[in-house]
Amino acid sequence: METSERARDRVRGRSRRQLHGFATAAGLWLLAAQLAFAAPFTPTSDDTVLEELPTASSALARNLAHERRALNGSPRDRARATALAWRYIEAARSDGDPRYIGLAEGLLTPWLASDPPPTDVLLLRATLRQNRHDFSGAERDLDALLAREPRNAQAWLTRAVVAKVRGNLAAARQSCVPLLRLADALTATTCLADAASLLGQSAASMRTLDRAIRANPGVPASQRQWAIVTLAEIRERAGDAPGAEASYQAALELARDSYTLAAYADFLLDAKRPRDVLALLGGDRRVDGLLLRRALAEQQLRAPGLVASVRELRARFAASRLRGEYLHAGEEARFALAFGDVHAALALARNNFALQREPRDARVLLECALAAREREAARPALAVLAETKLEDVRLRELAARVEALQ
Amino acid sequence: MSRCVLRLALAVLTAGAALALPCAALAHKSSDAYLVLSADGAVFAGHWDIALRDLELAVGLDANADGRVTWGELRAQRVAIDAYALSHLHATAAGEACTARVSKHQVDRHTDGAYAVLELEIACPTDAALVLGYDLLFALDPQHRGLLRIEARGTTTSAVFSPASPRFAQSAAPRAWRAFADFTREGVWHIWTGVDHVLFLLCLLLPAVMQRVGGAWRPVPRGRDAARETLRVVTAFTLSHSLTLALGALGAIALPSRFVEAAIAASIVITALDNVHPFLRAPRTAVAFGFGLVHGLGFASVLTDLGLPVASRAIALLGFNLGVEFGQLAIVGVVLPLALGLRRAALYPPLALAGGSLIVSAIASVWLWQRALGA
Repeated sequence: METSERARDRVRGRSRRQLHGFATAAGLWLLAAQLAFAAPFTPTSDDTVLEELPTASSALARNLAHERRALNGSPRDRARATALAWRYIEAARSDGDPRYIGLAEGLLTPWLASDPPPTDVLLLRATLRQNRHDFSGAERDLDALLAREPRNAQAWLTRAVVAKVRGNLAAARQSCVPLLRLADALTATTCLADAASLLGQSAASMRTLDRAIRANPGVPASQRQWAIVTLAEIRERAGDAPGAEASYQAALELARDSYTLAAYADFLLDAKRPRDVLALLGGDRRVDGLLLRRALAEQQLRAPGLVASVRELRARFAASRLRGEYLHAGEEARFALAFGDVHAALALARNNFALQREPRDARVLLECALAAREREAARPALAVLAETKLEDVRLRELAARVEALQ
Repeated sequence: MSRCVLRLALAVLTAGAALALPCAALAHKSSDAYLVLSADGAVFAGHWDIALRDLELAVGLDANADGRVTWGELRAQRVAIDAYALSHLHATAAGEACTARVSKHQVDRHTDGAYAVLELEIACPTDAALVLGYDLLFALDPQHRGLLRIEARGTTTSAVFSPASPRFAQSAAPRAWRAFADFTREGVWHIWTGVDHVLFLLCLLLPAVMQRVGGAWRPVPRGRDAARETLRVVTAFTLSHSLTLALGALGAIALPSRFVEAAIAASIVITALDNVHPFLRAPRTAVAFGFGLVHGLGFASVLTDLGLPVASRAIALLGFNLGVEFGQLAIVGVVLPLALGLRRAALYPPLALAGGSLIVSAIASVWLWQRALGA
């Protein structure tokens, strides 16, 4: 089978697939064949190290593995299982490793069959669903839980966060209100200030939140960090760059989790300080969202590492697509906008905005619409901006440029 | 990636044993396994790539608990791994269980790290549609996904196994008329896109409207005679290639495809050169018949590549053959009237017949060169 025969095979293969409607699948698999299915090999020596497990380098991973072994003896011990599930969720947040989310979910299996599941399991399931961007599922669980336990502070807080992510700001604020009597002052203030700042009350929110952070030095580090990151974001939106930077740095002193690193990296990218982004991220390339920020910084710097980072990200987005998931459509839209195809980016940004409506989601949609010169595509984001009186210097400026499109 | 390269280079410099030190934690991603199968009748062969991190969780790999999985540790758990994996993959065909076995282990790297590659063979009692049930890792990690790609009957299908959809059913074998239509289309398509067969036909058709009188080409006076000569030549070609197509497709003759492809190229070179300067003693009908035998074997190898459905093999073969003839007839229908119309033109013998044949022989010589040398 040589040249003409091969060419013919390709032509024929193509027509067959189109005929059978498998073109998309075949394309994906072709990609997969290149990316995911490299050549298998047989190691030559038994000493060859194939994989470094997380337990090799992370004390957290070692602790989790230890607790898991302890639980294996009594998998139906609900208190222990839910405690470990929370620790997995915490690890997923700090480490950015989504495998922990799956492991947490796996621990809950024995109780998910009962209807309704116990409330502590419901709360976990809601949190896991939120994490997987199944927002309506999370809201269903939270509503069911709160009907049974109206004084569950964590449930109100999670409900507020989910509502905020979906752009239901009034509902988010409403869910924060019960926290005034059920939770500590800093948690309640952070929740309320976050929602209020998105509803046109930035100045008051910043003042109140700043005061609450100073007044409550003794709260656990994770709560304090959340408050400080929230303040940093409000300050950034309001155009107070020095204040925002100080808060981001204060938050990172408490914990260097992926969310805060990504938010601060975005701040630095906007300030055209790519070298600071690379310094911030160090050598860790494992988290897709952080690798994306690195690539954007390398692009600003025209750094030689850019090619490798882009290739790696492309492979990872393709791998996630094979799972049939679009969990990071917003991030992928930013990637496509910066390194690939404006129209693909716009499609991703629109899909993302249908699900998530935070300021960062609005921003990527506006940027993609601007690059594609399609004002109509930005309509949902423009509508939200008009509706909420959101004070965000950069978003307002972007929106004006989109509105000016012919 | 650059960091990987750096680490590999360092490892090579410092210690030979650690040659393939992993590029630590490439990406964070949810758990996936890749199941790739291709069908040969009732037997499916392929591989199943399962992440070492997942196998560590499910069966335990890191025997010395140093956080590193070595090839030796993986090999030591081979029986446990195979038992675990195979107990979470259930294959049936027409309600009867198939037997799956793992023939060997290898290693591969995906975006998030190293995977054990289980070479897999699933043998089913019949070649009825395959049904797969998959629940690997779901009990430990409901976010695990099994990414299936299955090649069968000339098409590739993909599916994603999840706790919500743990089952995949291959679509039933196409009904006989459907297979017939599919293969007829393939036959037509094969002739029309197969430049070598088109060129060979041209070599047969161009001189059919002419006759040699005393060493020079003269147009056949009556069009009807030319058409009859064409009919004879094309019929001879059709009979012979249908014969070897059937014998080849049913497995009665099997020649290396490289040899067949080279012989097809040679047949074109010879026929084309014979148009320029006759040297074959046999009549044209005999030439068409002889070389048709070779072309038929070429068609057969295409048909084998497409994957003949076992149940409707005869119908598929008939469809493909008829498709080839139909495609060939269409070419004759275009070329013959042109040749008939132009045969009296003074430039027909030097330009169309000799010139055209020379070009064709040049092209076919390149093919012959490439195919014979495997270049």
